Amino acid sequence: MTRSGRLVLLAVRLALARWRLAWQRRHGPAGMLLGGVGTLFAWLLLAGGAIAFAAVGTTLFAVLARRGDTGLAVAVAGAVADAAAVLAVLAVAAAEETHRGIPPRPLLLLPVGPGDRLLAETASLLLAEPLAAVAWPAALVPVLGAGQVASRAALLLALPAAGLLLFLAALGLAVRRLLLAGGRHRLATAILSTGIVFAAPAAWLLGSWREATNLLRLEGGPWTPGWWIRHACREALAGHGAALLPGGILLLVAFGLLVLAARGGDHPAIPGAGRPRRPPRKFPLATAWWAARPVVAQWMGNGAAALLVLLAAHVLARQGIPWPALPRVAGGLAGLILASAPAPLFANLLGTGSRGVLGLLLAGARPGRLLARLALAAAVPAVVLVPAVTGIAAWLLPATGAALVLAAGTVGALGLGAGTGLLLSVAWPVRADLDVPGASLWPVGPTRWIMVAVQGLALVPFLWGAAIPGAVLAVTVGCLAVLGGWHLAGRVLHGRVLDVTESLLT
Amino acid sequence: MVRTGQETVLEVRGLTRRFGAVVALDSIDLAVPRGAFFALVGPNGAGKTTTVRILSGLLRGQAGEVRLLGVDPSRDPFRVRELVGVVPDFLPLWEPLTARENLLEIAGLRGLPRQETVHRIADLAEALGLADALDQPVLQLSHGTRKKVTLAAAMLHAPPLLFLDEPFEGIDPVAARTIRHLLAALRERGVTLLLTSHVLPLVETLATHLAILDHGRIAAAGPLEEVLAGRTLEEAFVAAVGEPAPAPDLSWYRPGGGR
Repeated sequence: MTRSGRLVLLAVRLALARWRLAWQRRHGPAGMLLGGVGTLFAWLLLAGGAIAFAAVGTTLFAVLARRGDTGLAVAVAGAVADAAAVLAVLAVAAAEETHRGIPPRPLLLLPVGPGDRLLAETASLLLAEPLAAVAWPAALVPVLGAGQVASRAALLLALPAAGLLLFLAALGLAVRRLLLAGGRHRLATAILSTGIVFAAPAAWLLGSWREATNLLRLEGGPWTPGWWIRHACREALAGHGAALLPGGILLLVAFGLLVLAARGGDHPAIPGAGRPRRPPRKFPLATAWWAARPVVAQWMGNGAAALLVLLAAHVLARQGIPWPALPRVAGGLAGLILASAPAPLFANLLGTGSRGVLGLLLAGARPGRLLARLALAAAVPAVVLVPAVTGIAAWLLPATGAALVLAAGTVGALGLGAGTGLLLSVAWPVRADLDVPGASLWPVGPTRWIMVAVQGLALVPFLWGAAIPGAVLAVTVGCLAVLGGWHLAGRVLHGRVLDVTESLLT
Repeated sequence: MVRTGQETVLEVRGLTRRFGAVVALDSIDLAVPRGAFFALVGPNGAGKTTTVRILSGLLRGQAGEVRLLGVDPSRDPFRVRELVGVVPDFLPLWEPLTARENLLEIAGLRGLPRQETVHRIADLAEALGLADALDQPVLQLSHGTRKKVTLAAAMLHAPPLLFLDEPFEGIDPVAARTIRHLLAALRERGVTLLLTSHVLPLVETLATHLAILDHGRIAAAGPLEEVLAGRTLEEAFVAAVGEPAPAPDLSWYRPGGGR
């Protein structure tokens, strides 16, 4: 959700709270009651869209079941499960930004009571999880359809139906809890959400591409939640006992999600509750890991995305795709995704956590030393992640050059990103607070596009193949870029440190 | 005891700074002798913080001259950072790190040897009563303790000048007393101190020199006795910046009658 979107939602909350208080002031206890009812009504109006979606969804499934078109009903159930998996994550992520992106401090000054908190929480749930509301009727489809088939099949359908119902419920609960939880759970969320968001559409597209009619049948690719549901239902409708396996797996996955949800903290930041304090974190390694929290989360998320790209290329390669460059393209893309993890921090090294940086500048740190320290802290996870992902690339796509492109491309892109970012950060520091969880780390302006374009240059040497000279060239360019950028940025910072501190203070 | 000499370690002439249409500092002059405890007082928005920020090399003056032991902060802010320790109005600490880690990091950037740093941190912790807080994340520390950590950070490199912007704000009486004793001891050792504060009785106890700033201008300045001229600091302050407006009639303010 954009900053303006968050502001609009905050403004709506403030307006509603003020409206209720105004009623209370004018009409005493009766006004308080009316104001409370009015606020509830307004929130329900906002959530009306979600409820309408749920009604339409339920009607659709009921019609399908009455027509006895079990095949289409099962396909739709699978598709809805996949869509729910992807969109529930996105919706709840947006809700988390709404909650945490802006500390609701103005509301702390208003006498917001437990009733308001409950209303806000209920409204958040309704607004954040419309997909879950739409999706659960899908679970009824196999049960309703079971009336059309033999008794053995009806019996077998019970397992996938229960699995689907539990899966959808658990998904909503687990994702919501994970996203509203703090600390290590948020790290898990970064990985999970990236994984789910990328995996389901990728699997869908892969499956559809393999067989064009899949799209018409609303069927995605293998290994999505929808695939398990469809597989289990079809086996059950055919009267096969094999339906028990996918149905059982679905139940296990749902159970796992429920366990995850139960373990995850549940401390939503709602108006009046104040801003939840991040649990203190003691750094086990060097203090130069000052930026570990956002950096590590970013690296892990991008690492997961890079792995998914490699996995997709592996699946395509096994299908015998007649495109020899596919592994190299996948390796390059994965490398670029990996190297872009610290890009926002590189681009705003001095602005990120501005008060802390001001402290370091006040400490009289020499520009080169300060910049090197900050840039190294942002890049430290690469020492572990780049070799690990390269190793996986070599295993998934052996003897294709993908690993070479990935390793050299990542190093080159990291170097180009660091060199450019150092220059951008001294030329254009923007105050950014690390203590706002979920907020974008990117500074304003075109820095994002500059960084993407510059880092992409690291892949140019591989346009003509995955040969050793290309790798050497990419790494050399990266090293030169980081050294040149560091040297130049140090000189620039020395000359304009006052401009930097001014822009961070005023 | 080190006596305040005539040598001026900090000299400001015609310093001016605007923020858009707002004139924060309007051609102010200051002269701080070596070993002085110089207090800068004034109402909110008078320009005290802006002055400290410019003297610390964090902001640029738009007109006038500043010389700090002969160095112009706008021309050589890095040299100024070696000469000065600053406790700014904001607390420039990394919240996820412990107090000790913050101090070690800052000392490392200043190039202090590790062993010496460890020794100094232990001494400062004892002097400021920080021993229990050293290994707690700054996030968990109270505002007053964070102030003390920031003061320790400013003192780590033993600078000849200390700038303290509102060091007693949000501090409990015991901590204030600790800081007061420490500052007095520093002055005994010849450190020149420049402090801004609203706690006038404390200023009256500690300061040797005083400047009263009002709407970006110096309303009175000089050795404490000269500025006070037999009055209390509060009386001198009010005389310099003007009497407060008479209290308005708040007849509508009755308990329970707010609706």
